[in-house]
Amino acid sequence: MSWQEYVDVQLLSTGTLRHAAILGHAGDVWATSNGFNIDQAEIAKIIKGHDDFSILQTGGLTLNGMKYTFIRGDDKTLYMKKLTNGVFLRKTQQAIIVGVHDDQQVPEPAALTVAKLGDYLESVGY
Amino acid sequence: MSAGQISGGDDISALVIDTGSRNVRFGFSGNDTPTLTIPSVVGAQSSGTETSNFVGDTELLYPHKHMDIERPVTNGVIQNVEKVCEIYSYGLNRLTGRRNADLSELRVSHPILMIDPIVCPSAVRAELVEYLFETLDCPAVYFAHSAVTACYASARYTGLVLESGAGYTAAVPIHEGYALHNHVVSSPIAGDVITGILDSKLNDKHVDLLSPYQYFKRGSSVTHRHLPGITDSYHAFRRAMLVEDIKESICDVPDVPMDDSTDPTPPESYSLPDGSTVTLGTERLTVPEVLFNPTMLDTTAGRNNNPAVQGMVVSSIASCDESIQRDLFQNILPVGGSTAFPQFVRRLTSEIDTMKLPVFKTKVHSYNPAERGQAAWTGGSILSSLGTFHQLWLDRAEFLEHGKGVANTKFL
Repeated sequence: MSWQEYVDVQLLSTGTLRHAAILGHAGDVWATSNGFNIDQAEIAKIIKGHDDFSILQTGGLTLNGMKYTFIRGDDKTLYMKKLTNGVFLRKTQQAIIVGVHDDQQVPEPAALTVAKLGDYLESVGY
Repeated sequence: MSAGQISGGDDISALVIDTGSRNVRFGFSGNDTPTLTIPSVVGAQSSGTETSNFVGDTELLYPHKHMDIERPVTNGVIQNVEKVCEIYSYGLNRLTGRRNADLSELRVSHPILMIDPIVCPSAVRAELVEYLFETLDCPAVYFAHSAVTACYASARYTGLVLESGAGYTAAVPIHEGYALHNHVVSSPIAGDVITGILDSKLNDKHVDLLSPYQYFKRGSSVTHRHLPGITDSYHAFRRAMLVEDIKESICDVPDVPMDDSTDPTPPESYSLPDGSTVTLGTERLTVPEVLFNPTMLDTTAGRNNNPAVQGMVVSSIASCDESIQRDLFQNILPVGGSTAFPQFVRRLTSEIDTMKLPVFKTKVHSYNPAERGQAAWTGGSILSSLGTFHQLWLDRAEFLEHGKGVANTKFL
């Protein structure tokens, strides 16, 4: 399955996310959903932010023109939100999955979709 | 398939369970207050190889022989899930009116909302979700933190919740309905610590705290009764109940910092069950003062440099993103039984103002003191009766698909 298919089929077609992307740890973009733009500067923040939450806690994260506030994070998944929009950032061995939901979806199923793909990628070495 | 389709949406009322270190509160979604509140305690009586577990006021207030009192919830955290499930089975059995003689056959057809503390480890949620789906056969489950539900009970989505019950105190910033886990400040100084200090003061005064099972009363003469086979843990349990009642009846926090050297306070008296009275003067106020000044303790809790409640509130807010600090300072919400002392809100307000924060106005909101201990439960009742809520439950299909870790992934 190509990375674009992972984004379109495994993530977006579940109906639980508005946008999604899969990034590599070096900052390269493996695939994004249609119309989803992530700045290189923000990608760098995402990568460093997983190890040091303060980078995201002060100043937040801006994706596709929307600024998200850090809510919580553990060693794998970070959640940030702005009003009814939110983004899950899940780190795997080689990738980072970005799952965005807006007011048409709710966070809980979105969390599960991102977690499911993250666990699967880890099980195959990614 | 969404959870709403399976659990029937508005038709079936959910059950709400709030597990505390002192009490477990059970009730139906949509009600103002819990229907059943029982101690978070199991009385274990072993005879030979069999152990009977006694749960609930009726059984626990009867001095069974050789019954050891076990407390599976300490400092807010469930240490022994198996024992706590005994309490849940008993409570759910009574709540649903089943009257099952054999609690192991209990099955629940309502969705269940479990409220747990912000300090709850993820392993506990995973074990509980197994009990709910596999043992109780529950159709759907939701987990929420007590600080978040208490915030909803105050009709807010954002605020700094200062929750203090029996087992722990925590300052939890809530932002748009979500607890900011990484900015929580917690301390073990709470109701149980206050009860312990009061107990030792009463001991120093050589007050005999007799519960009804410990004396015979004829007219006004009281003779001690020594029942054989009663365990030390049972005596300690009953004594603690009495000291707690004294604390809740006549203690308060002082409206200015105070210690034992301050001028004497007008004393108040409490009538003990055996008819004698205990009178407390300055200790009425200096005992709960530990919340605002933990260095007063010369026990290990004080030596560990635990923060005072006003310090917890301020440092928690200060650690958050600047853009949300103003809203947090203007929505400080004390909840939980140990914040229900009559002067608590006034004292907290003046302590925070004294810390001289230049930029922000602070407002500490007073949730009805009589119900402050149940605020988290009430918020859970509100949350589970919102129209949009039924799509958010975790149902059996998702549990089977994702495994027990899903209780931590799905609920933030």
